[in-house]
Amino acid sequence: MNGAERRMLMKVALLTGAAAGAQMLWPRRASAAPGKPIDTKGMKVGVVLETLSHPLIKYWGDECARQGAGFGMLVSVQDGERNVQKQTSQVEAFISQRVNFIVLQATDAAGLSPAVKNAEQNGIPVITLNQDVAVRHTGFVGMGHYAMGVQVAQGIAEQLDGKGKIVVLEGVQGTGANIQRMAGFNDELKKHPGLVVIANQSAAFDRKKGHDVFQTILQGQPEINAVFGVNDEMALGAAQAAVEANRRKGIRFWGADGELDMFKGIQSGLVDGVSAIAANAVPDTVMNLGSWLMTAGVEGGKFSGRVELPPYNVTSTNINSVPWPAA
Amino acid sequence: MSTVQRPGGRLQRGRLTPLVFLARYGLYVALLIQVAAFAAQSPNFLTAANLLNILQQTSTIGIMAIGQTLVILAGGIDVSVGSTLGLGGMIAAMAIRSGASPAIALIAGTAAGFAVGVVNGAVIFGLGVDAFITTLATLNIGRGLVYVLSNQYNVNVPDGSPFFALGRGHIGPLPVSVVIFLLLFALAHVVERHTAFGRSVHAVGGNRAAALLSGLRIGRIRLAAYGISGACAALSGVIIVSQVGLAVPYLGSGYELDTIAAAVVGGVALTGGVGSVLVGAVGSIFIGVFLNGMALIDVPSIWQMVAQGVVIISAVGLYGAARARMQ
Repeated sequence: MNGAERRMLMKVALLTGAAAGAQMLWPRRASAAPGKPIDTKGMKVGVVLETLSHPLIKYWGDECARQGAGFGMLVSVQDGERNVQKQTSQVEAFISQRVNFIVLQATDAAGLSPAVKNAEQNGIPVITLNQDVAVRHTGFVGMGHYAMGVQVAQGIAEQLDGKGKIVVLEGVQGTGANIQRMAGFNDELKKHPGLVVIANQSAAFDRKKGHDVFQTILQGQPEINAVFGVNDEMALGAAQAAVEANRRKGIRFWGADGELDMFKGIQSGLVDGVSAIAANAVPDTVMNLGSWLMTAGVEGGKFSGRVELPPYNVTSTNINSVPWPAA
Repeated sequence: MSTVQRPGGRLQRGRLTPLVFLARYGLYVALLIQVAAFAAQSPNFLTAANLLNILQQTSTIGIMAIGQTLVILAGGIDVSVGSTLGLGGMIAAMAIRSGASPAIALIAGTAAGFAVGVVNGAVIFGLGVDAFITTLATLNIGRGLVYVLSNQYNVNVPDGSPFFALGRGHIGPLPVSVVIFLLLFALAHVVERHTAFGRSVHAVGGNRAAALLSGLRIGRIRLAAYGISGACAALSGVIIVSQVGLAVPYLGSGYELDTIAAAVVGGVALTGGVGSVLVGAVGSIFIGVFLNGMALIDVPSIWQMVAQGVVIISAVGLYGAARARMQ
């Protein structure tokens, strides 16, 4: 099986899972949709993202547009500039334009809730992308951040036989991804009393900061057995600092996200493991779910369901048999 | 040139009261206290390896602080440096990817920053627009240019590129970035202390009217200071890209505040004319020591942010009180 086939298989599996989840969540309405499926051609979709200055989120926007175009939809992707007011006005503009559905990555769960409520009350389904809002709405599709934290702890426990000293590099504290990944990691760690966190510092999800902070920690800790970078960038920066300090040997470096650089790093031996979710899985599932809802004639304000995409651990043992990120 | 002040300004004159002593030498006293405190807390703090780490971690902010200090001394402010850093780094990464030599990439990135600085200076003194407003605008313009150039995606430096020597290489025991920082600091220090340009920078910042009457070409002096600041920022960006191996579109976001903080903690007055490149550079080292020590003794990151703010306010308050006494 080549990479493209694997990716396709992954997509089909994810879609089947999402559709099955949706069937369970909205059984009557979906099966009760009368007549033949509604054609999505020419439907308008409004996508409001948190920012377009982050490469992953920019990729999500591009992927939403590409997937939507495949269904014949007209997709407008907006840059929310991490601003609640801006995102609110963008959602309201889409309501005025009577788009068929809205995809929203909310910069603030509470702040965007009134706009989401307004859209749903106007019959426009809102699918939140990776970041939830505080009111009931049609759908949520996101990464299983908590599961990622759990998987990393499991991966480290396996590689260290349940015993060792761990350094944690956290991202921006207070962000949803950091909170949930750390919660999963800490909860799983309780099951492995031999694993001890000896240092915990923030490196703001940044590779340079991950390098600098871990470079300092290396000075203070003569024995480190594993590092958990709450995202891949920090893990990569930390591993590089260890290489420079001739301390790479004996330390297991783990990240979470599944960036291409991380996969390359596992293959080259720079890092040891990652809890990954394919970068295209989130936007693809959002758009496929949206398309499915439209085909079934589902309107806003009627249903509510969640799809959390399951991560998978990647190490040197399975790096050649898992789907790789495209970029 | 009787109105031209010596570097150090008013604090160099008058009776040596305890307050004046602290304002004049407080930075060095605080640095020593800080070093002693961290050394007492961690036996790994005062080691050659860790001190080299501090210099390496400080070098990029330090290089920027040199340029920023010159601008502030000349009575201006440059809040565009974060984006200029990103622009310089991105241009260098793109040049390397297109097959350019490391030297060309370095020159192209740094020259782009110099150009941004010259534009800043030209707008401020050609059109009479406020320095803060102008550089705030170019902060946005610069970031926008980075997004346009990169299409908001990461740009990786190819594996094995000789370009990595700049960020990861060593000259003897010293990382290349530290050598560049020290050389630039020495050059700026000599220029500031021993050339007409250096004295002019202090003069136009300290007393613009007197400088005008003395026949100084204020516009040109400030233009040069902004050009140097832009070039320093972009050079830092090129070094960071060479160190971590990729240019991210948000590279350098928020760094402008770090450079201003370094200058202010060093004792450079935002009103212009007071301070020196020396204290600006020592200010950046002071913050570097602080961050390194805090991470080494594993103080939670949240408290580090609070403590850093307290340090900045304390420094500014102390300098302000001493200067008020002198007048």
